[in-house]
Amino acid sequence: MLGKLVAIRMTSIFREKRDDGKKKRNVGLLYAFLAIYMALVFGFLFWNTFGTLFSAYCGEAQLDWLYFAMAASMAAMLGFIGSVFITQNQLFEAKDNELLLSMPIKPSVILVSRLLTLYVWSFFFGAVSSVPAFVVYFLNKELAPLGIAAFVAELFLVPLLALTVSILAAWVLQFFSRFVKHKSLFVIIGTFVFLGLYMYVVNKLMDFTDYLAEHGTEMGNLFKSRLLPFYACGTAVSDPGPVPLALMLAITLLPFCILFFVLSKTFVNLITTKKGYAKVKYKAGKLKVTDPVSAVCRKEMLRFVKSSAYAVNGGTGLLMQIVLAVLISLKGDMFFTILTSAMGEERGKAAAVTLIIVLVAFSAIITEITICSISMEGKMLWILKSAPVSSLDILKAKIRAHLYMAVPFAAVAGIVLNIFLPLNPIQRVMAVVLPVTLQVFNAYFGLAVNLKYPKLDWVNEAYAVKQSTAATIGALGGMGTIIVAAIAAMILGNIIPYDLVLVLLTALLLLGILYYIFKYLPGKGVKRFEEL
Amino acid sequence: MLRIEHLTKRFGDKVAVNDLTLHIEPGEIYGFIGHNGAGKTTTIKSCVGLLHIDEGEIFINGVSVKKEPLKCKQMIAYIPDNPDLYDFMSGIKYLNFVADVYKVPAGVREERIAKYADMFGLTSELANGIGNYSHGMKQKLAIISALIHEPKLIIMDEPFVGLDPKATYEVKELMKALCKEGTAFFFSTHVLEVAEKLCDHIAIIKNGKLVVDGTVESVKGDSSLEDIFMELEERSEGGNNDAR
Repeated sequence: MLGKLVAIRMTSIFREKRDDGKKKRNVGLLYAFLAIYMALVFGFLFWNTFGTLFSAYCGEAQLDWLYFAMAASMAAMLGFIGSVFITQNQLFEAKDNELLLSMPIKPSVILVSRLLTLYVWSFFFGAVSSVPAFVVYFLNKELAPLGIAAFVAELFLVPLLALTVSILAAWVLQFFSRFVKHKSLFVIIGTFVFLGLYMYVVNKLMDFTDYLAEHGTEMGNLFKSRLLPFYACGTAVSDPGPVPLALMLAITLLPFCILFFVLSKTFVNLITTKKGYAKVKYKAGKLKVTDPVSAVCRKEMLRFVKSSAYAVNGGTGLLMQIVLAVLISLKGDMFFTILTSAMGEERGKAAAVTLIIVLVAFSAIITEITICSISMEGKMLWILKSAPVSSLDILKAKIRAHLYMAVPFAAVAGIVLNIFLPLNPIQRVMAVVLPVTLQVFNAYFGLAVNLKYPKLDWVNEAYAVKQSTAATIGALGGMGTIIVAAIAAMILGNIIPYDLVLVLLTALLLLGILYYIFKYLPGKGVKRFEEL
Repeated sequence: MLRIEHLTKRFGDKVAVNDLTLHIEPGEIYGFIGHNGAGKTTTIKSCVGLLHIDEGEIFINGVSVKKEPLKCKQMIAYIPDNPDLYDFMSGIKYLNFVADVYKVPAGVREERIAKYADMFGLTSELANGIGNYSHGMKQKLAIISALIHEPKLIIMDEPFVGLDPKATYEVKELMKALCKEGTAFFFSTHVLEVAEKLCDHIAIIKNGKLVVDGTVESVKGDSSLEDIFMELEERSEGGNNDAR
């Protein structure tokens, strides 16, 4: 039964209903590609980090245990980050909890099936730092067979420790969220603060690594006195023996076992207790009247801000655009230095400015609003389809909502570039026009992708937002497009003036927009929507 | 008010509705009865424009659903079997959204919302999120939203599921009252007693084909609707066995 439950959970993630609702489309390959991509990007980052730490700790300092303790602590931190957001959702708020409880399935089996899925997430994120740490060490220094065994055990057990902390955090969140009136706002703010912190840490990772490398003794004392679980993990690998190994097993397994015992005893109670909500007293008053298309547009915007998963996923791209504009405007010395030394002062500077504008503009493409807007209708699609509003108007309203929310951010990003960068008049105009045009293109492109790959059978909106084919295409395609656009800008710059490259890119996007407005949307777009 | 002419709807090789013809007059309550998978929901969804019509035609007040779907949708209201509404909206925001979509003037919508919300005891809950509503409350909200633009035809799929006895009574009384004003109702149900007591006309569908239709009296005669329904089911099964 456990196998079946896990298989159902995995199937719901990796397979999607086809348009005809009969056969299913396997999107596992797409997710595998995304996982490899993420593993490579972060793996490279941690490869460098652990290279530095290895030199500092594992040479004369002979602090090999600290190296592995550091690896364990980073794996735990990443495992926690990777699983904390979905733990509450998957464990306590899964919509099929009550259905499964009504079947002759032991609650503990349901619990284990949920935990296994969460563990896979935590393991993946942890392995992204653990594996490079091990490879760096293994290539440079010999490790006893028992040490290798201890490391393998650590690889699997540290994510369990991270999961334990995630579950506790999710439980606290679950407990307190019932007292919060604007729950989604609470989650959105919390997520952005968390993401901001995370981005700060990643940004400062090299400085942080240097600090760790220089302060080995202090860090060693800190781990020994305050971070005992990681100290145990470190010594178990570097100085393997029955006692350190037993200590590591106890420290990682025991908290999870205790938590599992408590959870299995309280699981039914936790998920079936009526949560209640802060009631709002209704006062009849004047109702705001709008035209049907504006009403659908407002509905779309309301759904975006009210859904924490949707807002966080779509909103990150919006904020990123401005943050990126500020960051590379202020700290873009690298661009200028590399390009001016390679291409000469004037041409190099023009190339760098062009590249910055292109990168900032194309970062808009990771804004995922329309790309989920059809999927987000889910079982509520009947409301729009039975309403006296034409399919074309419904699609236009979805586009309009995307533009209302995204274009101001694109414009602000352009203004930020205008403030911080020394631009000529054409560049000044294009710094605003290109991001805005790109965001308009993104709205149409996203809608077309979602019409092609809708996911309407979700039980949790996070599946529509994060785990659908459309969302994955958006994430991968977005990153790929940024790289392709940057390379195209550099190549084109060798043939035509850089200012013209910006104009040309904008013109290309405009052509794309015109195609979607006049050809795709009234034709295939409407047809696809009506087939849903 | 509603004319279904030779409607046929296929899903791949399966014929869900086969050459169905029904006529519903203004002010009539028309019950649509059939076993699970008989084709009731498919017929209803075709009438409200949720499904493409393969063959045949459907007219609302003389207007073709195929040719002028928006004009038809403006005249009707649809209440699905499962009220999946926008959980992220409050009850009042949802009702206002529906009023916007149907272009109901400000004063009129406020008056109707107040009237029907009071009738169904939902006024105190209107400011709360739909996500916090029970199934019955959602069903009541769906019914209120269907009444906001005063449709000429109300099409309902199992409208009494999830409603408490008081709300069920209110809905039935409301249907009767609206009928007197000329509104027509076409609804599917499994509750034969309700169909027997409430409907002017009934139609029984089996495996996508119309088995019988007419006034309640003409269909049931001296028997109960339940007896007739079971007799038709058995006769049809016997026919199938003979054919095999």
